[in-house]
Amino acid sequence: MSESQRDPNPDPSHDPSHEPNHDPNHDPNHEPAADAGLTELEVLLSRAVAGDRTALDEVRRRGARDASVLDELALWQADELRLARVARELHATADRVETPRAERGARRWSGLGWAVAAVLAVVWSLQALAPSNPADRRASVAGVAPSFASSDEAFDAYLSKAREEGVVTDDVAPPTLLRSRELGGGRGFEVVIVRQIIERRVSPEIYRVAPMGETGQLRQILVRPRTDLVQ
Amino acid sequence: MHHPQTHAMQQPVHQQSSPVEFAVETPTAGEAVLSLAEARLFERAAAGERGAIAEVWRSNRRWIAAVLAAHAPRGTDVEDLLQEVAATLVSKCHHIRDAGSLRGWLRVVAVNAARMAARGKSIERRAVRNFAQEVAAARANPRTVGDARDTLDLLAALPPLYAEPLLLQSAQGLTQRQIAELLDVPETTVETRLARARRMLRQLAREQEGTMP
Repeated sequence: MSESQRDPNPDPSHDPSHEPNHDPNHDPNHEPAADAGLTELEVLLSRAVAGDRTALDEVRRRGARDASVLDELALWQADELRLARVARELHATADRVETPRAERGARRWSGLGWAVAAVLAVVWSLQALAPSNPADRRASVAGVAPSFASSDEAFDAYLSKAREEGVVTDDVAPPTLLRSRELGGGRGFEVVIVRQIIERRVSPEIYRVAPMGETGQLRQILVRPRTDLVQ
Repeated sequence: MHHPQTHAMQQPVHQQSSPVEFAVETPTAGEAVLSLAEARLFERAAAGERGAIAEVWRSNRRWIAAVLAAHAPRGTDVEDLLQEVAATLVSKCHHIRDAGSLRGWLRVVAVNAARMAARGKSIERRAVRNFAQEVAAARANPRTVGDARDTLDLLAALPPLYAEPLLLQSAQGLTQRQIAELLDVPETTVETRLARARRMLRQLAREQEGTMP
Protein backbone atom coordinates (compact mmCIF):
# COMPACT_ATOMS: atom_id res chain seq x y z
CA MET A 1 0.00 0.00 0.00
CA SER A 2 1.52 3.31 -1.01
CA GLU A 3 1.42 6.39 1.17
CA SER A 4 -1.17 8.06 -1.03
CA GLN A 5 -3.42 5.02 -1.00
CA ARG A 6 -3.81 5.06 2.73
CA ASP A 7 -7.01 6.12 4.36
CA PRO A 8 -6.30 9.51 5.89
CA ASN A 9 -9.12 8.99 8.35
CA PRO A 10 -8.27 5.66 9.91
CA ASP A 11 -10.51 3.77 12.21
CA PRO A 12 -8.57 3.59 15.47
CA SER A 13 -10.67 0.74 16.69
CA HIS A 14 -9.25 -1.71 14.16
CA ASP A 15 -5.86 -2.25 15.65
CA PRO A 16 -6.18 -4.74 18.52
CA SER A 17 -7.57 -7.43 16.27
CA HIS A 18 -4.38 -7.30 14.19
CA GLU A 19 -2.07 -7.78 17.11
CA PRO A 20 -0.86 -11.32 17.60
CA ASN A 21 -0.72 -12.28 21.26
CA HIS A 22 -2.99 -9.42 21.99
CA ASP A 23 -4.09 -11.08 25.19
CA PRO A 24 -2.10 -9.26 27.86
CA ASN A 25 -1.77 -12.49 29.80
CA HIS A 26 0.15 -14.05 26.96
CA ASP A 27 2.07 -11.09 25.59
CA PRO A 28 5.47 -10.71 27.25
CA ASN A 29 5.71 -7.20 25.85
CA HIS A 30 2.41 -6.14 27.27
CA GLU A 31 2.24 -2.78 28.93
CA PRO A 32 -0.93 -1.16 30.16
CA ALA A 33 -0.22 1.99 28.16
CA ALA A 34 0.05 -0.04 24.97
CA ASP A 35 -3.46 -1.35 25.32
CA ALA A 36 -5.10 2.01 25.44
CA GLY A 37 -6.84 2.62 22.12
CA LEU A 38 -5.17 4.98 19.73
CA THR A 39 -6.97 8.13 18.85
CA GLU A 40 -7.56 9.04 15.25
CA LEU A 41 -5.26 12.02 15.68
CA GLU A 42 -2.42 9.84 16.97
CA VAL A 43 -2.60 7.58 13.95
CA LEU A 44 -2.65 10.64 11.69
CA LEU A 45 0.32 12.17 13.50
CA SER A 46 2.26 8.93 13.21
CA ARG A 47 1.62 8.79 9.49
CA ALA A 48 2.42 12.47 9.06
CA VAL A 49 5.82 12.35 10.75
CA ALA A 50 6.64 9.21 8.74
CA GLY A 51 6.26 11.27 5.57
CA ASP A 52 2.66 10.65 4.51
CA ARG A 53 1.70 13.89 2.74
CA THR A 54 -2.02 13.17 2.84
CA ALA A 55 -1.94 12.63 6.59
CA LEU A 56 0.18 15.76 7.05
CA ASP A 57 -2.32 17.84 5.09
CA GLU A 58 -5.14 16.46 7.22
CA VAL A 59 -3.27 17.30 10.43
CA ARG A 60 -2.64 20.83 9.18
CA ARG A 61 -6.29 21.20 8.22
CA ARG A 62 -7.28 20.22 11.75
CA GLY A 63 -4.57 22.49 13.11
CA ALA A 64 -6.22 25.45 11.43
CA ARG A 65 -9.21 24.87 13.70
CA ASP A 66 -7.28 23.79 16.79
CA ALA A 67 -3.77 25.15 17.35
CA SER A 68 -2.94 22.46 19.90
CA VAL A 69 -2.92 19.94 17.05
CA LEU A 70 -0.02 21.82 15.44
CA ASP A 71 1.78 21.96 18.78
CA GLU A 72 1.44 18.20 19.04
CA LEU A 73 2.68 17.77 15.47
CA ALA A 74 5.77 19.84 16.28
CA LEU A 75 6.53 17.62 19.28
CA TRP A 76 6.14 14.41 17.29
CA GLN A 77 8.37 15.85 14.57
CA ALA A 78 10.98 16.72 17.19
CA ASP A 79 10.89 13.10 18.38
CA GLU A 80 11.42 12.01 14.80
CA LEU A 81 14.50 14.20 14.53
CA ARG A 82 15.89 12.63 17.68
CA LEU A 83 15.30 9.21 16.16
CA ALA A 84 17.26 10.37 13.12
CA ARG A 85 20.19 11.12 15.42
CA VAL A 86 19.88 7.64 16.88
CA ALA A 87 19.98 6.34 13.32
CA ARG A 88 23.25 8.11 12.64
CA GLU A 89 24.80 6.54 15.74
CA LEU A 90 23.52 3.09 14.83
CA HIS A 91 24.75 3.46 11.26
CA ALA A 92 28.20 4.44 12.47
CA THR A 93 28.26 1.47 14.84
CA ALA A 94 27.03 -0.97 12.21
CA ASP A 95 29.46 0.26 9.59
CA ARG A 96 32.38 -0.52 11.88
CA VAL A 97 31.50 -4.21 12.04
CA GLU A 98 32.68 -6.50 9.27
CA THR A 99 32.31 -10.24 8.96
CA PRO A 100 35.02 -12.14 10.81
CA ARG A 101 37.86 -13.44 8.67
CA ALA A 102 38.02 -16.80 10.34
CA GLU A 103 34.95 -18.99 10.45
CA ARG A 104 35.32 -19.60 14.13
CA GLY A 105 36.49 -17.31 16.88
CA ALA A 106 37.81 -13.96 15.66
CA ARG A 107 35.89 -11.99 18.25
CA ARG A 108 36.83 -8.45 19.01
CA TRP A 109 38.92 -7.79 22.07
CA SER A 110 36.21 -5.75 23.69
CA GLY A 111 33.81 -8.65 23.36
CA LEU A 112 36.04 -10.72 25.57
CA GLY A 113 35.93 -8.14 28.28
CA TRP A 114 38.80 -5.89 29.19
CA ALA A 115 39.24 -7.53 32.55
CA VAL A 116 40.35 -10.70 30.82
CA ALA A 117 42.56 -8.76 28.52
CA ALA A 118 44.17 -7.11 31.51
CA VAL A 119 46.34 -10.17 31.69
CA LEU A 120 49.00 -8.74 29.52
CA ALA A 121 49.12 -10.36 26.16
CA VAL A 122 52.17 -10.11 24.03
CA VAL A 123 51.59 -9.96 20.33
CA TRP A 124 54.10 -10.11 17.63
CA SER A 125 54.69 -7.05 15.59
CA LEU A 126 53.86 -7.41 11.96
CA GLN A 127 57.51 -6.94 11.19
CA ALA A 128 58.33 -10.18 12.91
CA LEU A 129 55.91 -12.12 10.77
CA ALA A 130 56.77 -10.47 7.48
CA PRO A 131 59.37 -12.07 5.24
CA SER A 132 62.78 -10.98 6.45
CA ASN A 133 64.33 -11.01 3.05
CA PRO A 134 63.19 -8.13 0.81
CA ALA A 135 63.42 -10.42 -2.18
CA ASP A 136 61.03 -12.86 -0.51
CA ARG A 137 58.67 -10.01 0.22
CA ARG A 138 58.65 -8.95 -3.40
CA ALA A 139 57.99 -12.50 -4.47
CA SER A 140 55.04 -12.69 -2.08
CA VAL A 141 53.60 -9.47 -3.37
CA ALA A 142 53.90 -10.60 -6.93
CA GLY A 143 52.26 -13.89 -6.08
CA VAL A 144 55.28 -15.81 -7.30
CA ALA A 145 55.74 -18.87 -5.15
CA PRO A 146 57.05 -22.37 -5.59
CA SER A 147 54.39 -24.73 -6.85
CA PHE A 148 53.45 -27.76 -4.74
CA ALA A 149 51.50 -30.82 -5.71
CA SER A 150 49.40 -30.60 -2.55
CA SER A 151 48.95 -28.60 0.63
CA ASP A 152 50.60 -31.44 2.57
CA GLU A 153 53.65 -31.11 0.38
CA ALA A 154 53.69 -27.36 0.96
CA PHE A 155 53.33 -27.93 4.70
CA ASP A 156 56.24 -30.36 4.73
CA ALA A 157 58.33 -27.91 2.73
CA TYR A 158 57.47 -25.18 5.22
CA LEU A 159 58.53 -27.35 8.15
CA SER A 160 61.76 -28.27 6.47
CA LYS A 161 62.60 -24.66 5.66
CA ALA A 162 61.51 -23.46 9.11
CA ARG A 163 63.71 -26.02 10.85
CA GLU A 164 66.60 -25.00 8.63
CA GLU A 165 66.10 -21.37 9.67
CA GLY A 166 65.63 -22.27 13.32
CA VAL A 167 62.08 -20.99 13.38
CA VAL A 168 60.65 -24.39 14.28
CA THR A 169 62.80 -25.96 16.93
CA ASP A 170 60.60 -28.66 18.44
CA ASP A 171 58.85 -31.63 16.98
CA VAL A 172 55.45 -30.87 15.56
CA ALA A 173 52.79 -32.16 17.93
CA PRO A 174 50.44 -34.85 16.63
CA PRO A 175 47.19 -33.45 15.23
CA THR A 176 44.35 -32.93 17.71
CA LEU A 177 41.01 -34.26 16.57
CA LEU A 178 38.20 -31.69 16.81
CA ARG A 179 35.37 -33.62 15.22
CA SER A 180 34.61 -36.19 12.57
CA ARG A 181 31.58 -37.33 10.66
CA GLU A 182 30.69 -39.75 7.93
CA LEU A 183 30.08 -37.96 4.66
CA GLY A 184 27.54 -40.45 3.39
CA GLY A 185 27.22 -42.02 -0.01
CA GLY A 186 30.40 -43.97 0.55
CA ARG A 187 32.48 -40.78 0.22
CA GLY A 188 34.41 -41.42 3.42
CA PHE A 189 34.78 -39.38 6.58
CA GLU A 190 35.34 -35.71 7.24
CA VAL A 191 37.98 -35.26 9.93
CA VAL A 192 38.65 -31.81 11.39
CA ILE A 193 41.96 -31.47 13.21
CA VAL A 194 44.18 -28.82 14.74
CA ARG A 195 47.87 -28.80 13.95
CA GLN A 196 50.11 -27.11 16.43
CA ILE A 197 53.47 -25.77 15.49
CA ILE A 198 55.71 -24.13 18.04
CA GLU A 199 57.69 -21.37 16.43
CA ARG A 200 60.50 -19.23 17.76
CA ARG A 201 60.81 -15.75 16.35
CA VAL A 202 63.17 -12.87 17.00
CA SER A 203 61.62 -9.46 16.78
CA PRO A 204 63.25 -6.06 17.21
CA GLU A 205 60.20 -4.92 19.16
CA ILE A 206 56.97 -6.28 20.57
CA TYR A 207 53.65 -4.87 21.68
CA ARG A 208 51.83 -5.65 24.85
CA VAL A 209 48.11 -5.06 25.15
CA ALA A 210 46.78 -3.33 28.22
CA PRO A 211 43.62 -1.46 29.21
CA MET A 212 44.06 2.29 29.35
CA GLY A 213 42.10 5.00 31.05
CA GLU A 214 38.75 4.83 32.77
CA THR A 215 37.06 3.16 29.82
CA GLY A 216 39.38 0.18 29.93
CA GLN A 217 39.84 0.43 26.18
CA LEU A 218 42.69 -1.74 24.96
CA ARG A 219 45.82 -0.08 23.62
CA GLN A 220 48.95 -1.52 22.12
CA ILE A 221 52.07 -0.41 23.94
CA LEU A 222 55.33 -0.63 22.08
CA VAL A 223 58.09 -2.39 24.00
CA ARG A 224 61.64 -2.02 22.75
CA PRO A 225 64.53 -4.17 24.00
CA ARG A 226 66.83 -2.63 26.56
CA THR A 227 70.21 -1.72 25.23
CA ASP A 228 73.51 -1.98 27.09
CA LEU A 229 73.31 1.73 27.84
CA VAL A 230 69.95 1.39 29.57
CA GLN A 231 70.96 -1.71 31.47
CA MET B 1 10.71 -0.36 -3.64
CA HIS B 2 12.85 1.79 -1.54
CA HIS B 3 15.53 0.38 0.65
CA PRO B 4 18.08 2.54 2.42
CA GLN B 5 21.08 0.34 1.80
CA THR B 6 20.45 -2.24 -0.83
CA HIS B 7 20.23 -0.69 -4.24
CA ALA B 8 19.56 -4.09 -5.70
CA MET B 9 16.16 -4.09 -4.04
CA GLN B 10 15.08 -1.35 -6.39
CA GLN B 11 15.52 -3.62 -9.38
CA PRO B 12 12.51 -5.51 -10.66
CA VAL B 13 12.24 -9.23 -10.25
CA HIS B 14 12.25 -11.29 -13.45
CA GLN B 15 11.33 -14.65 -12.09
CA GLN B 16 10.78 -16.40 -15.39
CA SER B 17 14.34 -15.82 -16.51
CA SER B 18 15.84 -16.55 -13.15
CA PRO B 19 18.17 -19.52 -13.24
CA VAL B 20 18.63 -19.59 -9.50
CA GLU B 21 17.21 -22.40 -7.44
CA PHE B 22 16.19 -20.16 -4.58
CA ALA B 23 12.52 -19.50 -4.15
CA VAL B 24 11.96 -15.86 -5.01
CA GLU B 25 8.74 -14.66 -3.44
CA THR B 26 6.15 -13.44 -5.84
CA PRO B 27 5.58 -9.71 -5.59
CA THR B 28 2.07 -9.13 -4.38
CA ALA B 29 1.55 -5.43 -4.87
CA GLY B 30 3.79 -4.48 -7.76
CA GLU B 31 6.85 -4.38 -5.55
CA ALA B 32 9.81 -6.73 -5.56
CA VAL B 33 10.13 -8.67 -2.33
CA LEU B 34 13.58 -9.86 -3.32
CA SER B 35 15.44 -8.80 -6.41
CA LEU B 36 17.12 -11.23 -8.74
CA ALA B 37 20.47 -9.67 -7.87
CA GLU B 38 19.81 -10.21 -4.19
CA ALA B 39 18.70 -13.78 -4.71
CA ARG B 40 21.90 -14.50 -6.60
CA LEU B 41 23.97 -12.78 -3.96
CA PHE B 42 22.29 -14.83 -1.23
CA GLU B 43 22.85 -17.98 -3.26
CA ARG B 44 26.57 -17.23 -3.51
CA ALA B 45 26.67 -16.45 0.21
CA ALA B 46 24.90 -19.70 1.08
CA ALA B 47 27.47 -21.52 -1.02
CA GLY B 48 30.14 -20.10 1.26
CA GLU B 49 31.61 -17.43 -1.00
CA ARG B 50 33.38 -15.06 1.35
CA GLY B 51 32.89 -11.94 -0.75
CA ALA B 52 29.17 -12.58 -1.11
CA ILE B 53 28.77 -13.17 2.63
CA ALA B 54 30.57 -9.90 3.34
CA GLU B 55 28.33 -8.12 0.84
CA VAL B 56 25.18 -9.60 2.37
CA TRP B 57 26.40 -8.45 5.75
CA ARG B 58 27.15 -4.91 4.59
CA SER B 59 23.76 -4.52 2.96
CA ASN B 60 21.89 -5.70 6.05
CA ARG B 61 23.95 -4.68 9.05
CA ARG B 62 22.27 -1.30 9.59
CA TRP B 63 18.78 -2.64 10.09
CA ILE B 64 20.23 -5.48 12.15
CA ALA B 65 21.74 -2.81 14.41
CA ALA B 66 18.26 -1.33 14.75
CA VAL B 67 16.79 -4.71 15.72
CA LEU B 68 19.55 -5.21 18.28
CA ALA B 69 19.03 -1.74 19.72
CA ALA B 70 15.31 -2.46 20.05
CA HIS B 71 15.72 -5.82 21.79
CA ALA B 72 18.94 -5.49 23.78
CA PRO B 73 18.70 -4.23 27.35
CA ARG B 74 20.08 -0.86 28.25
CA GLY B 75 23.82 -0.90 28.68
CA THR B 76 24.44 -3.62 26.13
CA ASP B 77 27.13 -2.97 23.58
CA VAL B 78 25.35 -3.17 20.21
CA GLU B 79 28.70 -3.44 18.46
CA ASP B 80 29.52 -6.63 20.36
CA LEU B 81 26.16 -8.10 19.41
CA LEU B 82 26.71 -7.13 15.78
CA GLN B 83 29.95 -9.08 15.91
CA GLU B 84 28.05 -12.10 17.15
CA VAL B 85 25.46 -11.85 14.40
CA ALA B 86 28.17 -11.41 11.77
CA ALA B 87 30.00 -14.48 13.09
CA THR B 88 26.78 -16.49 13.00
CA LEU B 89 26.12 -15.37 9.43
CA VAL B 90 29.57 -16.56 8.37
CA SER B 91 29.35 -19.90 10.14
CA LYS B 92 25.70 -20.78 9.54
CA CYS B 93 24.50 -19.10 6.38
CA HIS B 94 25.13 -22.26 4.38
CA HIS B 95 22.13 -23.74 6.21
CA ILE B 96 19.83 -21.25 4.50
CA ARG B 97 18.06 -22.94 1.63
CA ASP B 98 15.62 -20.19 0.73
CA ALA B 99 17.06 -16.81 -0.17
CA GLY B 100 13.75 -15.17 0.68
CA SER B 101 14.06 -16.26 4.28
CA LEU B 102 17.55 -14.90 4.87
CA ARG B 103 16.43 -11.57 6.28
CA GLY B 104 13.97 -13.25 8.60
CA TRP B 105 16.68 -15.64 9.70
CA LEU B 106 19.09 -12.76 10.33
CA ARG B 107 16.46 -11.03 12.42
CA VAL B 108 15.92 -14.14 14.53
CA VAL B 109 19.68 -14.43 15.04
CA ALA B 110 19.82 -10.78 16.11
CA VAL B 111 16.86 -11.09 18.48
CA ASN B 112 18.37 -14.21 20.05
CA ALA B 113 21.72 -12.47 20.46
CA ALA B 114 19.99 -9.56 22.18
CA ARG B 115 18.06 -11.89 24.48
CA MET B 116 21.18 -13.79 25.38
CA ALA B 117 22.82 -10.48 26.22
CA ALA B 118 19.90 -9.74 28.52
CA ARG B 119 20.61 -12.95 30.37
CA GLY B 120 24.32 -12.34 30.54
CA LYS B 121 25.99 -11.42 33.74
CA SER B 122 28.27 -8.84 32.22
CA ILE B 123 25.67 -6.21 31.51
CA GLU B 124 26.44 -4.20 34.59
CA ARG B 125 30.13 -4.13 33.81
CA ARG B 126 29.41 -3.12 30.25
CA ALA B 127 27.05 -0.44 31.46
CA VAL B 128 29.84 1.05 33.53
CA ARG B 129 32.14 0.99 30.54
CA ASN B 130 29.45 2.45 28.28
CA PHE B 131 28.77 5.18 30.78
CA ALA B 132 32.42 6.15 30.74
CA GLN B 133 32.33 6.14 26.93
CA GLU B 134 29.19 8.25 26.97
CA VAL B 135 30.86 10.77 29.22
CA ALA B 136 33.83 10.97 26.88
CA ALA B 137 31.56 11.23 23.83
CA ALA B 138 29.37 13.85 25.46
CA ARG B 139 32.43 15.96 26.15
CA ALA B 140 33.37 15.74 22.49
CA ASN B 141 29.89 16.60 21.20
CA PRO B 142 27.57 17.29 24.06
CA ARG B 143 24.32 18.22 22.29
CA THR B 144 24.05 15.69 19.47
CA VAL B 145 25.41 12.67 21.28
CA GLY B 146 23.43 13.51 24.38
CA ASP B 147 20.21 13.71 22.41
CA ALA B 148 20.83 10.40 20.67
CA ARG B 149 21.70 8.69 23.93
CA ASP B 150 18.67 10.15 25.67
CA THR B 151 16.48 8.89 22.86
CA LEU B 152 18.08 5.46 23.03
CA ASP B 153 17.37 5.42 26.75
CA LEU B 154 13.74 6.27 26.07
CA LEU B 155 13.56 3.57 23.40
CA ALA B 156 14.98 1.07 25.86
CA ALA B 157 11.94 1.75 28.03
CA LEU B 158 9.60 0.74 25.19
CA PRO B 159 8.65 -2.92 24.77
CA PRO B 160 10.65 -4.37 21.85
CA LEU B 161 7.34 -5.07 20.13
CA TYR B 162 7.01 -1.32 19.60
CA ALA B 163 10.62 -0.14 19.62
CA GLU B 164 11.63 -2.45 16.77
CA PRO B 165 9.26 -1.21 14.05
CA LEU B 166 9.84 2.37 15.16
CA LEU B 167 13.60 2.05 14.79
CA LEU B 168 13.26 0.19 11.53
CA GLN B 169 11.11 2.93 10.05
CA SER B 170 12.36 6.13 11.63
CA ALA B 171 15.99 5.21 11.96
CA GLN B 172 16.47 2.92 8.98
CA GLY B 173 13.92 4.21 6.50
CA LEU B 174 12.21 0.88 5.88
CA THR B 175 8.69 1.06 4.53
CA GLN B 176 5.77 -0.39 6.43
CA ARG B 177 5.64 -3.22 3.94
CA GLN B 178 9.32 -4.07 4.41
CA ILE B 179 8.85 -4.04 8.17
CA ALA B 180 5.75 -6.23 7.86
CA GLU B 181 7.72 -8.75 5.78
CA LEU B 182 10.58 -8.74 8.25
CA LEU B 183 8.37 -9.17 11.30
CA ASP B 184 5.94 -11.46 9.47
CA VAL B 185 2.88 -9.49 10.52
CA PRO B 186 0.23 -7.60 8.51
CA GLU B 187 0.98 -4.03 7.47
CA THR B 188 -1.96 -2.79 9.51
CA THR B 189 -0.34 -4.28 12.60
CA VAL B 190 2.88 -2.47 11.79
CA GLU B 191 1.02 0.81 11.42
CA THR B 192 -0.70 0.31 14.77
CA ARG B 193 2.54 -0.54 16.50
CA LEU B 194 4.25 2.48 14.95
CA ALA B 195 1.55 4.84 16.17
CA ARG B 196 1.62 3.32 19.63
CA ALA B 197 5.40 3.45 19.75
CA ARG B 198 5.43 7.12 18.85
CA ARG B 199 2.75 7.88 21.41
CA MET B 200 4.64 5.99 24.11
CA LEU B 201 7.89 7.72 23.16
CA ARG B 202 6.15 11.09 23.44
CA GLN B 203 4.71 10.15 26.84
CA LEU B 204 8.13 9.11 28.08
CA ALA B 205 9.70 12.29 26.71
CA ARG B 206 7.04 14.34 28.51
CA GLU B 207 7.78 12.52 31.75
CA GLN B 208 11.50 13.08 31.27
CA GLU B 209 10.98 16.76 30.51
CA GLY B 210 8.77 17.01 33.57
CA THR B 211 11.50 15.66 35.83
CA MET B 212 14.21 17.90 34.44
CA PRO B 213 15.23 20.80 36.70
